[in-house]
Amino acid sequence: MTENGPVPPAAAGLQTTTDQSTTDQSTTDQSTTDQSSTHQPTTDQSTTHQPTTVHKTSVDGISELWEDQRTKTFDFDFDMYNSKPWMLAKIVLCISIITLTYVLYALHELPWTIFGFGIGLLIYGVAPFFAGLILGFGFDDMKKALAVGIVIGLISMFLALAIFVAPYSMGLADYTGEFMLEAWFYFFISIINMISFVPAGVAVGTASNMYE
Amino acid sequence: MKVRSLKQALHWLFLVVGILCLVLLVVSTRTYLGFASEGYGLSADLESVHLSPDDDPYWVGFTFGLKNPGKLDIDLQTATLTIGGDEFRLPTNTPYPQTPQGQYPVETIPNGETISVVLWFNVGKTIHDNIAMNGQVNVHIDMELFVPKRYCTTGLIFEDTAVIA
Repeated sequence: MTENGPVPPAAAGLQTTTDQSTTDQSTTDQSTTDQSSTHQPTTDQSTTHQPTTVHKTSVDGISELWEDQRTKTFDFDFDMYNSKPWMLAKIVLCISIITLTYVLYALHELPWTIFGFGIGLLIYGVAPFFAGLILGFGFDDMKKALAVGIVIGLISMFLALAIFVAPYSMGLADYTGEFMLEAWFYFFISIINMISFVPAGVAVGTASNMYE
Repeated sequence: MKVRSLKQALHWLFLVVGILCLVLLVVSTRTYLGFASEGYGLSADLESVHLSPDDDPYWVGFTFGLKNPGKLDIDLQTATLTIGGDEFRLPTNTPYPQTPQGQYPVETIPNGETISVVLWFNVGKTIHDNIAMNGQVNVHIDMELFVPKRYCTTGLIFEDTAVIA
């Protein structure tokens, strides 16, 4: 979860400027070494006199720009949307969206199943991606985001499997052994789906926090 | 649209979609468990009841409209009629005596379709005469269903008071 937020590009840009000045300085230093006793006192002087002022201004500028960029970037109230209650809600709803997708794909008996037609296939791909995307908005660390996304995907898969085999395990009807083969088949399909679309969504969501 | 506004909109869209999904997940699970425990979504409407002429064999025939709203074919394997504590099993190999409208023997109720099915039972003279005298009968039919794609055998119980046509 993001507490401090990502590095604003403007700040990064400013840093580059500072770096450049440093590079310049190093160049100048080189020349300084060469010409410490010789000419070009102006340049040398500027580096010797100005550092305090320039440095101070740059730091102030960075923090101002940082705050400004942070406000701009997160003016949809990033802290609120990634607060604990929201994150908890996101996790629960992510699990329910992904689980529902897998359940509706496997349960052909339901009149609202998504199996067997084009829009259903689209939903099968888009829903886990969407869930991962929103989850990813809460992170600025890609590795952590992917790990959390995959864990949530795995929980959803096992939950979907549990729902699928519930009548079998609860003894609501008489099943033959082939039923479990069917269950594992849909579990396998959901692995392929989960490993493709959930991390993709999470990655896009997290990346948008980094490069906005 | 700026990315931040899009994110905000997506968060609220996610909240709405997520809550709907949660509700739908609960409904789907309950429906699925209900399907498995009884009838796999099959619904039966009794359309008419026929009695045999007063002659051997004595039978009573029920014409049902069976609706299969799901996406799986369902096989009707057998049925048991209970009248006054006596049980009568659906004969499987005997042809229907006077073939009214409907299919018999029924093998499959195709997914998404409603078909008319006739179930008839040899009931014996005493019960036949009782039904004929009362003009109606309390029906309790237990249908045994098999769902091939789920390798599952389940049942559907139909109870009603039927008036003889």
